[in-house]
Amino acid sequence: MTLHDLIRGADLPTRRHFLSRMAGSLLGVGAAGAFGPRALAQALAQDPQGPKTGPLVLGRATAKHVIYLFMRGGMSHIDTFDPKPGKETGGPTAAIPTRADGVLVGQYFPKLAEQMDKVCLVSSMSSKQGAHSQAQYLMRTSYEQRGTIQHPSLGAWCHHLAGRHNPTLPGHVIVGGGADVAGAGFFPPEFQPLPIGSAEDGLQNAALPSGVDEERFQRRLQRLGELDAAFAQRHQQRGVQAYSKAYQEAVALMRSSDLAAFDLDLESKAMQAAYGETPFGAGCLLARRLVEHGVRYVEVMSDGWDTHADNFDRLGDLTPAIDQGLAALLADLDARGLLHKTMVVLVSEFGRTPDIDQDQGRNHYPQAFTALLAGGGVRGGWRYGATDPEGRQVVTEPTSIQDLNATIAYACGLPVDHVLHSPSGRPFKVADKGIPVTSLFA
Amino acid sequence: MTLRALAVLPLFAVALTAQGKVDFQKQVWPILQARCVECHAAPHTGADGKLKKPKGGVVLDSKDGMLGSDGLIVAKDAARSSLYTVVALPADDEDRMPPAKKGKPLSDEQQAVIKQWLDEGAAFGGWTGTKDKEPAGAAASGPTTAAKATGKAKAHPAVALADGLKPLPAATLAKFADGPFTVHSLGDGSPLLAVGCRGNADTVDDAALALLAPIASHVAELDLARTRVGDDGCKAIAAMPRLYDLDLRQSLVGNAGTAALAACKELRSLNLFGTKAGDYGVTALSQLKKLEQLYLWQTEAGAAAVVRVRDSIPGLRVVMGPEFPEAMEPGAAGGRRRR
Repeated sequence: MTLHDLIRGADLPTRRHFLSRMAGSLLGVGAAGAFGPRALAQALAQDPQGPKTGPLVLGRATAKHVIYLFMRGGMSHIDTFDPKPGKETGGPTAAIPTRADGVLVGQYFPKLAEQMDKVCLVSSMSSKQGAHSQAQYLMRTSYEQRGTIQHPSLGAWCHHLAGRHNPTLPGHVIVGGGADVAGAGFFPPEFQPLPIGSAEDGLQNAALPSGVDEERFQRRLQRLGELDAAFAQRHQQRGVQAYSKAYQEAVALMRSSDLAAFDLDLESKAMQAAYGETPFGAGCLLARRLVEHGVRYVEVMSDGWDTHADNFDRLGDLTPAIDQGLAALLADLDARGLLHKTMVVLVSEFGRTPDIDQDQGRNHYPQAFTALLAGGGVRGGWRYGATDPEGRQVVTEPTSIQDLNATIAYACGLPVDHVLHSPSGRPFKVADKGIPVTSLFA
Repeated sequence: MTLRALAVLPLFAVALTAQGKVDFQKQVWPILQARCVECHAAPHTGADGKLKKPKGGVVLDSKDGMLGSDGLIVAKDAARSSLYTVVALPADDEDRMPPAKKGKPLSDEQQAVIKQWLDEGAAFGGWTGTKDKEPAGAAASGPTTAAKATGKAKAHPAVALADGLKPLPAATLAKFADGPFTVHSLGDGSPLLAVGCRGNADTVDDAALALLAPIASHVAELDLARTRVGDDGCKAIAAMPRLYDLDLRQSLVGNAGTAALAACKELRSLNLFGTKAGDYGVTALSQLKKLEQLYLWQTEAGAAAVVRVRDSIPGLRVVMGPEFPEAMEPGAAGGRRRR
């Protein structure tokens, strides 16, 4: 891998990344880098059928889908969803009232304020991990990053325990990045998320190449089948079969009307404008389309929240896309009758320091931060937990990252105590030792 | 000390026998007492006068404590019981119990006793163990108990609907392994079913609904969103007496079909977004007294019909459309604040 690749890789998935990851998710086989053939076969062998439909739990939580919005870099809790007006730590950020009585948000969210009757802010998040990639890993997997094992992300857990609603589409999609974050971990590679680099571009390489008509494509597939037949006959292993299945599923999707789920051009101009024509807004719109078509778990990444300097100016640039996109998403999901079956989550790996430094910056602060939840049976219009008047420490209802993830899993009806074993035989649960905060649900 | 030494004795006295059932008090408890409860006892005041809480919230010195720890004991399934899986981990695994600093792993024989006891059903006999030494408030901080207590506060409609209902034979359900519909249990062993489409929803039409006739009595959730199901199909849906969540958004359903749904008396949520449902059909829904949510965005229902249905069903929420935020100004960075 050249330096150029590395730089590119940090930004958008490359075509090669994309193809291999796409094979890993939608198509059921893993990137060779993560799983050698032997590991692949082992992984597939350990759980022949997999608990496609885990022992789902009946509750008041009603989520069939999750839209998980990740603000990468550490979003300042005090300037966004836990404002501290009039305190020195509050800085120049004003707090504005919202449609939810008594719930204030930072001035950067005037449009979201109109949707806060649907939202529960969990302002008592706390962790001990203050380094970006480790904290992001912890947030998305519930486990501390270790050298000896790759943990599955929450999306992979949901896919594994509850299965796909729509078997034509992937169970788990990451929009706007995702080539570099935890995916299926030690689960079989079919639980790898499908990364979509840019929502506006949708799913690439899914149409027939120019000059290839259906008949020719059919002949090519047939030839491929003939070439593969002898090998598949000689090596009747799950890994080999997974590759054939991958091709079949990819072709099925190419021919499916569900492919339209990825195409934002099918949305009206007015709808695109309502979500805001930004990468994040387009990501939210794509997430809504994917959920409509039955994708269980969609993540949308937003970058640039590491505001060590010029925090307030930077937030002025970063927040309008979030305000617009999230407000439109909540309004739209509700009107379509999808909000009660879709849990919308907005998180960041940690908060930022209450004290403002000489560069008008705020630094990493895992002691206290806020997560936003809406839909999926969550009661809207209130704040759960609180920090002290300066936003330094959690004072009520302390909530760990594992507790938050257990709450999301609970919302989806997943059994939080269900143990799955890694190939080496170690036990893991969807949210480690997290306890669902059931009082969040209506 | 003497207590602990004594407690280990029965281990040697009672050999593990293949035919005899493992006795918790005589065989399992001594192991726990010797190797586990030093850290995993209910909150109590230690010798140093400080409050000692159980590590990881796992309480092993009482029956209630053990049953209150999620995943600790899964009766008849040692492989899913963390009481067994954590002691059976390799000696060098950092998650192994007891941890390395507390001495050797349990012997193979001790592990086998625990495994057999779990696999046999994890019966405690008459043993209940230590009573809570703390007031109830402290005990409530233990894991899951809190979650479970509040989780049952309001019964799920599926609970009453499933009352007295026998599950369908597996052979009937097996027919849905492929075909246009996916069929799942609602979960928690409920005989009720959630039915959806297996992708390509736009190929599902009224005729396909005939496939659901053998399971109509058990369908509680039905997702026909974006299908070509129309008014005729609603007759098949009307024969589903336990249906409480019906999603027909962007299907071809119109007035006649909507009116037919008035037969589904258990409906709690009905989604008609993007259909041709109009005043006639929506007015007929006034009979659905249990309806809680009705989605009518992009339908032909007029204000008068909506008011009528809302007034006839107490607590009904009718959703007519989104309040979208105003579009962003090009290049705007709203809320920007200069130093």
